[in-house]
Amino acid sequence: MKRRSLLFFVLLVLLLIPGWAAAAGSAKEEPVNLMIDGQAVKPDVPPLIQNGRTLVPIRVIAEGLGADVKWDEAARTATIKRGVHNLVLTLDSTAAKVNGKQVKLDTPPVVRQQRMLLPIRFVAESLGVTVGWNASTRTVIANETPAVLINGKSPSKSLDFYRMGDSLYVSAQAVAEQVGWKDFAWKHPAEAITIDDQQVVPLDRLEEELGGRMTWDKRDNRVEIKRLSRFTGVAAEGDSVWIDTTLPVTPETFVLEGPHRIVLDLPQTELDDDLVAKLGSQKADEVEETDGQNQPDQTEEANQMSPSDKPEDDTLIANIRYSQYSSSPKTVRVVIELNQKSQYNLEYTNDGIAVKLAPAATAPGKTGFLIVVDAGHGGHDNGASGTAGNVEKDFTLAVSKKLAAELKQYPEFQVEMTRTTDVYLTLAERVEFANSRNADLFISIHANSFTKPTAGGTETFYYNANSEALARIVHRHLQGATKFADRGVKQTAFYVIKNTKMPAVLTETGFLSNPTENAQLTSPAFQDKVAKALAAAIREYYLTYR
Amino acid sequence: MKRRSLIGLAAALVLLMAGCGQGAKPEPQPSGQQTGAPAQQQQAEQPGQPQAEQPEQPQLTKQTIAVYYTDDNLTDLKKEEQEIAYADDLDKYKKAIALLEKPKQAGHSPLWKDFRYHSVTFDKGTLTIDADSKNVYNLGSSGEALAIDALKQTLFQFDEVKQIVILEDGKPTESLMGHVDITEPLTRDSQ
Repeated sequence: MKRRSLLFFVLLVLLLIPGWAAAAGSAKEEPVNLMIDGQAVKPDVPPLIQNGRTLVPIRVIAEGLGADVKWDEAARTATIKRGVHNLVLTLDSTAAKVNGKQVKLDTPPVVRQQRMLLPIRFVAESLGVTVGWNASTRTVIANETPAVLINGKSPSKSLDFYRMGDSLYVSAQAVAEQVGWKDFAWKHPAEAITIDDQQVVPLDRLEEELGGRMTWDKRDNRVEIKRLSRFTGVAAEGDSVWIDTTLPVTPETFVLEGPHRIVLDLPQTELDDDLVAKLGSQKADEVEETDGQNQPDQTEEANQMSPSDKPEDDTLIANIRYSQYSSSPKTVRVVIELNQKSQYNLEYTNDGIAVKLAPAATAPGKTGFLIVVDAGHGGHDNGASGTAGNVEKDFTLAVSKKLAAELKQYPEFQVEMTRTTDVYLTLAERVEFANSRNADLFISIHANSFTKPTAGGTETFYYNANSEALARIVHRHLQGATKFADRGVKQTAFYVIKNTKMPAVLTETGFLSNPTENAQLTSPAFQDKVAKALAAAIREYYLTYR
Repeated sequence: MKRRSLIGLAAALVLLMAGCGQGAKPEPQPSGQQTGAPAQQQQAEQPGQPQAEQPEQPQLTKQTIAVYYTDDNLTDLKKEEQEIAYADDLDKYKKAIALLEKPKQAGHSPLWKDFRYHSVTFDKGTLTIDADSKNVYNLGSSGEALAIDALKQTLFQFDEVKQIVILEDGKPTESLMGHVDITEPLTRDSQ
């Protein structure tokens, strides 16, 4: 009878929680299983799922996890001790204490059939125990957290090891990342099981997937992962560079200029002994290359894989060097020196990595720091109307042309205008203009207007965070030139500055609706002053931030 | 004549059912249609009401609301409390929008002037204003930013309004006055 009402209660709870109703049917047939330290445990009161959390009888925790549990009837609190960990839980309360610190539970401990049920994940994790949930078998897994060494070091990010029977399971992807193989690809994905959304495999399977040696000392509960790749050589062939390693790794890559270089850092990789020997002898010979470095464990790239004959100018590769860049953690650095700026692509082969080079295709027409000048409005869109019958679109175009001319004085600047005539462009077209050209800076020229002739002043807008510095510099120069009231720098979601990717500003030089300001805005001399100020601002920004 | 108004009513119902009026052609006489439909709705919601009450004259609710303007120098938003009397929620939004053009206090300037729209509709927290593309605003970016802000602050004081969609002639548009991006619905959080 009692059991029945509990079942009813569980069903009711499941039904009440949205989304759980569908699972209710299967929950009835498939109870929640427990596996503690690799062994299936069947408590006298079945585990209960509440608020998506599994609650288990307190005895399971006491015996299964080897914790010391004290029950205080008066205070209705359970005090759980395990090693240095200390936990206090109160019946029907979400307030708990972990090592003296107040925390809030998702779901409170409850009493069922005279047994106190506790949220196992919270309790176990607070006690330093690893907990996982296998949804396909509806099993809560809890086990002692092992000590882990990866290539002789503690993992940089903690790894979860789940014990099932006599096997220890771990996420292959998580281990692959720690041994320098971020681009890990499964050989046998079907053999993995899912615990807490991680694809985990037992250690022997992990060896097959990643290579290396994975051992678990059960007595000391210590996991040792040894997977160090060896760099055995590098060769250039045409515009390709072949890097040989004994195990796959994912290199960190970056490029340098003057001369153009591609640098590849191979993580968790050491130089082959043969190469170390060769490197040592070469270093003795090639005095000019060593930069005065003569420690056995160089910290800078040192070895010269110099082509025997002088590189021809039409080849991309000038030289290749490599070294044991870091010994802890072990990292091999390969530097490809280039005759000209090149694009590169990495391909993974059975023997390592192929670096495929191609001459850098510069963005179409892009020769330097590309500035897009956007004259606001145009065509049927007059923009605002001035007090003298003038319209905004004429002001914006005049200033934009003058600004473009100012900027073109600097050879390192490349300037493009969204419009050079009185045509209509949608806002999307202006944004596309700048984004598709991969512009480095966007400036949209506008003039302000209001229904009251009193409103006046200079105002500068930005939206994206990458544009604030530019906006401040532009505003300082612009307001300094107009001497109009300072309306400040503001962050507003205007279409053209919100949707452009590069630093972007929109300037409101002054009010066309203000007769005094309008008289200036329509004067070519004033427009010149504005354009010069904007060019000076962009120049300052370029010199400061580029 | 009778037949005509029936068609009008049917058209109004279709428009209401279509939600935000996507694909629906802008109707030439919006004010005429919309008084009919909400009145009917109100009647339907109160089936227990004695028949003696006249559905043609719905009781107006009075409420003091905040409406936003600016000052003569277009510095920032200025709040005013004004009273409105409305028949239903849709009417409440329309009255609030209309008040955006009518500040009472000296020194307050409206950010909206002669704003015409085809329809104002409300569905599941989304208030959709289908503006007339022939509106002339003559505001710079500063004014447009404040105008949109005034509209938002005024309409978001009604808790049930979760977002505002502005269309032009029934179609989405990138901006109303050429500056502020309205491709995404305006929300309380959005700038």
